[in-house]
Amino acid sequence: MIGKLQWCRPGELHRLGIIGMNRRNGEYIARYNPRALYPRVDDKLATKVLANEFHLKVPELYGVVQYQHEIKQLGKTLEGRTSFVIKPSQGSAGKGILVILDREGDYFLKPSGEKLTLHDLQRHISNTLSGLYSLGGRNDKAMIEYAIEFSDAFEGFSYQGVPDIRVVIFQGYPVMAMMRLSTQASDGKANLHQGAVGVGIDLVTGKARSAVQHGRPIEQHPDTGRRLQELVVPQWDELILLASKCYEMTEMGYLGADIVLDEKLGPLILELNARPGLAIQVANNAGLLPRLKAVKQLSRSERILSQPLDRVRFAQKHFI
Amino acid sequence: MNAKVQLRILIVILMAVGLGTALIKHYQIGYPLIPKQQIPIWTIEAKVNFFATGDPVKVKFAVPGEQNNFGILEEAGSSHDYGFIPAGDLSGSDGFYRYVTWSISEATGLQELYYRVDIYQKKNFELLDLESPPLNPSKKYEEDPLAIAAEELVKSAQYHSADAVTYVGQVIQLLNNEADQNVQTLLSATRTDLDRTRLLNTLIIKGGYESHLIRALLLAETSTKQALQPMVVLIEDGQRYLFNWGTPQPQQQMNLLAWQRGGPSLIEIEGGRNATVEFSVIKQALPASFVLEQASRQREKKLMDFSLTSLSVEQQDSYRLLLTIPFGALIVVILRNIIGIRTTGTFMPILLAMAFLRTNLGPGILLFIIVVSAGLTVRAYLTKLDLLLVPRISAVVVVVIGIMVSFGIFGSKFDLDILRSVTLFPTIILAWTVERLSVLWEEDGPKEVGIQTLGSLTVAILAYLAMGNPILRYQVFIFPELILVALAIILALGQYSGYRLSELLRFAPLVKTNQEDGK
Repeated sequence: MIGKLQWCRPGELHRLGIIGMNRRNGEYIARYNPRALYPRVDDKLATKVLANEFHLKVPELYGVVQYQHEIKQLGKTLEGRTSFVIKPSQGSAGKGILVILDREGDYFLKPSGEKLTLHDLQRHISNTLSGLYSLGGRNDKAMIEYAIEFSDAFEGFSYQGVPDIRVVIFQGYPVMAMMRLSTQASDGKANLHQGAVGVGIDLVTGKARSAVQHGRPIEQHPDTGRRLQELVVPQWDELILLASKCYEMTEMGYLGADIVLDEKLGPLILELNARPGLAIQVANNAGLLPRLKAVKQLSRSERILSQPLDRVRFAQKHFI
Repeated sequence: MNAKVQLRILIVILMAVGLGTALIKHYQIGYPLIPKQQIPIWTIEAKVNFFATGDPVKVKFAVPGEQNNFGILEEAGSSHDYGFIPAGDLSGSDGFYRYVTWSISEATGLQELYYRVDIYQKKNFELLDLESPPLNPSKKYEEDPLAIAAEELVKSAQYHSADAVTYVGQVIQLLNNEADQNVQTLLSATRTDLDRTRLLNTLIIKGGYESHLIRALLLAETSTKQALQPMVVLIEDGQRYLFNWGTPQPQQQMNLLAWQRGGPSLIEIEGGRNATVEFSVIKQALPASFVLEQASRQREKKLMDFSLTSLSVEQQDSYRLLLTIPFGALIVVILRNIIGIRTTGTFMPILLAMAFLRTNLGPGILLFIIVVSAGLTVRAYLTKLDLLLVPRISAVVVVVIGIMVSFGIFGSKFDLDILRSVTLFPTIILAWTVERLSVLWEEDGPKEVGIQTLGSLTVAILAYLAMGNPILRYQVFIFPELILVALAIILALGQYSGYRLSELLRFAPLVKTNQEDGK
């Protein structure tokens, strides 16, 4: 991972159409994502409410706990639910997410089999509300939602953790996609910084194009040994269409949509990101710039009059 | 496009105004651009505190005159509402007894009066070569039993000495022997260092030599809360020797400014009591031509033009630091957006650099590493206890302060200069840094903490080197308009949308695989 330092010339990067941090911040995020719209993506509850309004599929919301006194009624909210997820509305990096998969008498079972009482859940929510898991310690809300049943299409491609698909959408056009697979090195987290595997996904077929870990190309998953070339995302057309529709919902020009695949419900929007990272270029072994420019060159009328499906078709035709 | 054009015009205007003003100052007024051939300057501020009793107040305060080794560049007295009478001629006949006077018809409570003087070092290093003030022995030693004790001590010293210098040495040695009856008698009438120095002076005069008392100020580096040091000047054959109470050898200090010479008191107050005087000294080096020009102006009693040098000492010191911050910010912009070094928070490196300016670089880095690692350890433990964020930060601050205080104690115990540089300012910055880093630890893991800490330290060290650079400090202080130039450069860099140096490393594998594909 450290090895010999390898450099390249700016001209080479430019030829490949790689976009750098400065350009992303200055020419895309600052210009296409108005500050006032950030709460739509930074607050997961707001995103969910918005998605429901726009009839976009998200994990179903079972309940929200906003004030400490509401915690007492938690038992009622959970009545009849055997599996669910409790997560902070403004949590970051997966902190404070509690997954319950089953019940056994009065106990709630975590995926590890650990037994929790209702009181344990109440304490977890109380901590969430007082800001234990949100950045900067702001008071937060706790969301109780549907626990995703992961599609077994990804069996052997992920070490623990949740495989999700990140699609970067520019003015409604999906421009690049990547799947993030957790590894032992990333501690089950789908964070590329921490050593998760990034797999570039072909926009037309949903098949793997290339894969990287720690910024270097790899062929096999480091823990399970499965060939990453064999990875195919099922229900791909539905997934990429869902991502494309996030534009109308958020009105943000430069957006990253994190989508998961549920066994029964298909693609669901997990969360949105107004500052999607640049690692997706490495995973795809391609630069974003030519694609972003192609979208920029479209006339305003072409863009505004096109439907999400048209935009997906445009992307699948041009961005290969 | 419009915004881009506006920005470019703004950049050009800022550049032109900043550089233009500096150049005009350089050519019209003659401030040199680079500090060359420097002369040390001490700006001394005397702060007089006293309690006014509600009556008319008149304060007479002795001030230094022109001396052979030190010249006076500028002097000023300031104080709210008080009438102020400046001192007389610098080198006139009343040179020994220069004083300034403050007065007011009525005042109550704590009063603060300020007198400020800029002293420059002359090339002539001869010690206090000035006309001697009248001899002024204390009257109380002419009565019994003090007179008898003094008489015996003088005789003994005369017997054991050959000339003035050995005589004074003998007197001091005899006085050091506190078991002696005569010494006990003499010392019983003294309470302060000043009293004892007066006694010494009287004994020298009784022995038939010429000497007088001075109150001297040590012109060291920048320091605050100094006091005047009473000393005795012995004159023999036109030579002058300085003696301290308790040390039989003549003193060799060159950087002593005789604040006042001869007997009269330093300060006389009517309508007030409990007067105290504190001195603070700032040392700086100014270009010779500038100093000499100022000195001649002072003699011609011309008014100073507007500049930061006319501010009070304490204000000057903080402006000096303040004015270098834009250049620290410029360094941060370059290192973050052009080089691509990751740092914790945008301006933490500047704050760190400011802390380093207080503690010096080596001790600063050492402190940083120790405090941050100790702080992170404690914080990790506190997180396990499920504490909420604000109490957790507060607990970390308390722990960090505990660590710093124990450094201070160890430092003074074992005489380590390094650890005594701990002050309030870096403490708060370090505590805050610990908090930022521990949030980062939770969010992105220890590796990211390592990268960003190293990045922050690198940026902080470079910012420190820039902000502590004497030439830059001189330039921004004399030409404050240069911060507009810094602003212009920062704005120009704000438009840079090219790759960061770090990205040439980050995306290199991508280029490599593409080349392989191409072949």
